[in-house]
Amino acid sequence: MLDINALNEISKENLPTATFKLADLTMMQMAGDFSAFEESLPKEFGDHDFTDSYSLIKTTLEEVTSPKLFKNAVTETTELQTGDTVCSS
Amino acid sequence: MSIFIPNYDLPLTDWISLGITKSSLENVMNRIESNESIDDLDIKRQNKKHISKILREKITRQFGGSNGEERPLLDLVINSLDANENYATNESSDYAISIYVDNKQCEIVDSGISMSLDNLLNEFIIPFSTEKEGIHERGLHGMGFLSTLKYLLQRPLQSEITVHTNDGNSNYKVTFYSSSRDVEDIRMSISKSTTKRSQGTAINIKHKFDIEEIETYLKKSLYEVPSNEASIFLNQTQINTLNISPYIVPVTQTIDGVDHKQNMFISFNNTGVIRLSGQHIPIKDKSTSRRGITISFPSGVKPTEGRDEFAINSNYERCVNASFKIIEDELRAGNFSRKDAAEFITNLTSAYETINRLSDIPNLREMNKLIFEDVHYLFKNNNAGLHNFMPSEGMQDVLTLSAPSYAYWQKHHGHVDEIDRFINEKFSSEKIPSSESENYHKKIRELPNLKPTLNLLKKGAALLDCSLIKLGGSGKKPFFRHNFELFINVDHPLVQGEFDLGKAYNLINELSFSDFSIDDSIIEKHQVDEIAAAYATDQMYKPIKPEVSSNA
Repeated sequence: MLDINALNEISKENLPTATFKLADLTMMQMAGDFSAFEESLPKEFGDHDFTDSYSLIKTTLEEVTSPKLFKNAVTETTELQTGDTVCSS
Repeated sequence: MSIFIPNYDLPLTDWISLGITKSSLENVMNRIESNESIDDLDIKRQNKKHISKILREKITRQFGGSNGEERPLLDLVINSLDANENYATNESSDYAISIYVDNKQCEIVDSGISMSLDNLLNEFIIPFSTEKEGIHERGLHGMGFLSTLKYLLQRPLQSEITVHTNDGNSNYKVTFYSSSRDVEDIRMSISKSTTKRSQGTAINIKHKFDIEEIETYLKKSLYEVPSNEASIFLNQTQINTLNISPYIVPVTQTIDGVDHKQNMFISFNNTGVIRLSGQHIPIKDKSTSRRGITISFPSGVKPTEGRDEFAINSNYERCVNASFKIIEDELRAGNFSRKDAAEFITNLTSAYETINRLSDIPNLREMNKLIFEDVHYLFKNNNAGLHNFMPSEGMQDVLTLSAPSYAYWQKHHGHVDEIDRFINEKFSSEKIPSSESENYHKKIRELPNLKPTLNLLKKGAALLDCSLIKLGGSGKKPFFRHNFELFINVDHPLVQGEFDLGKAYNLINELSFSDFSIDDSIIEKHQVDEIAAAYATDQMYKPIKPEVSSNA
């Protein structure tokens, strides 16, 4: 069960953070090795090195036949279903 | 000696997994083209659940709502329109699309650019594939082929979809089927086709169809597609025979960050409908006044997934702005009356999602000037009685609009609904003096036909002020009531002349039963009847038809 107090405590720690494009995460799920991506995320407090994670995304991006596909999947499931313009990249 | 032609059969999710990475796509294509087995291919099945989720999204969610049964067929026809080699050039062609439908199957056949094996595996079956995205293609609007797979989920083991391709180099037969209602159980088989076919694509869907509904929907959706672009036949009868000469408006559209000129088509008609279409496929209708319009946006403007609105972005806004420029041109050309233009612009404004008020229209100032240049008085329709009261020559600088249009325009025009100001500024008026005064009796002697009416008003309508006005013309009605003031046209033929019982009686009737309707609380019908009866008893009375002047 989700412990909100525990989450609040954790949020005060100096946890590693990084920003990923939603389209890239979708790509990793559909075409990449998502388990390896999860493993690549830093797990130690104070470790902000996301090099391996970004490297995996870059490698997968080079391997997919249509890099735009994943951005489009995100855009279509948001923008075109509501009529509002969003930025998915 | 017969040649063995293998049939490659996998779950659709596996085909998608193979198609979205370069190495696996190249590998599977090589195997199929050389008739080798694909059994030992490495398929990333750990991604299956994510691919299934995306596929389910594409197949099921976009299939709901009205026309859910027929809409995938429209998307197939739209894909066939895209396949026309000459579409990008806007040149006339003999391109034809044939649709055959009965209650067991539907087939859509075109002779356009077909798909290679690469296209099939890398675009056709990939949810949200963007590779076909281009500046000319309607496919941007279609939900694509995948939406038809819902038919398989509706009737597993019974429905089946077969696609025959011939891109000029190779023929393939691709079959889709499902053993259950679960997206993960949809399978696709590919084999090189042994059937000799001409270039193009044929899609056959075995499914239980309601022919009447499909025919009605496809006719309604496709009848505005220009026939010089493609002839569309439904069970051998052409359904897009509309002969229109639209405005062709080049509009800048930004696609993938690059600006392109695309054509928007605008045509006026008398349907009383504002229709917003996406490349001639109707998306949204709105009723309007007499004049109708069809605005067909280019591919840069995308309908939402539900196909009932457009995505709001800069492409859409540019098209909206361009359409108002065409309205301005029509106004300048005298093709709109001022009233029609004002009403029409109001309705068009409310049809567009991005225009919330008139000031959002880029050329409002120009149109405002064209419509209201000589207009000094703006009234709402609920003052229509004034038009019957006034001689037509007195109303040339008056514009009367419906309540919604009035609400839109009055703040821009700068005038408000001022009947009093209108009458006072244009005509001399004279309050009827107190009934006790000598002046009152003098006035009655001058206008004897009004006497019964004034008696009636004195008896029952103390709150009603009366003013005599000279209109310089007869008008249609002798009275006009505005709030608690009754204006009387002294030039009206019922008022003018020696006392005539018929005229007097008809004046009472006009007062009581005309379209401005005196409230029952002020004058009750029995009072009218009493007075009329009194006159009728005293003299031989016959009602007369009021004489109305020819210019009224």
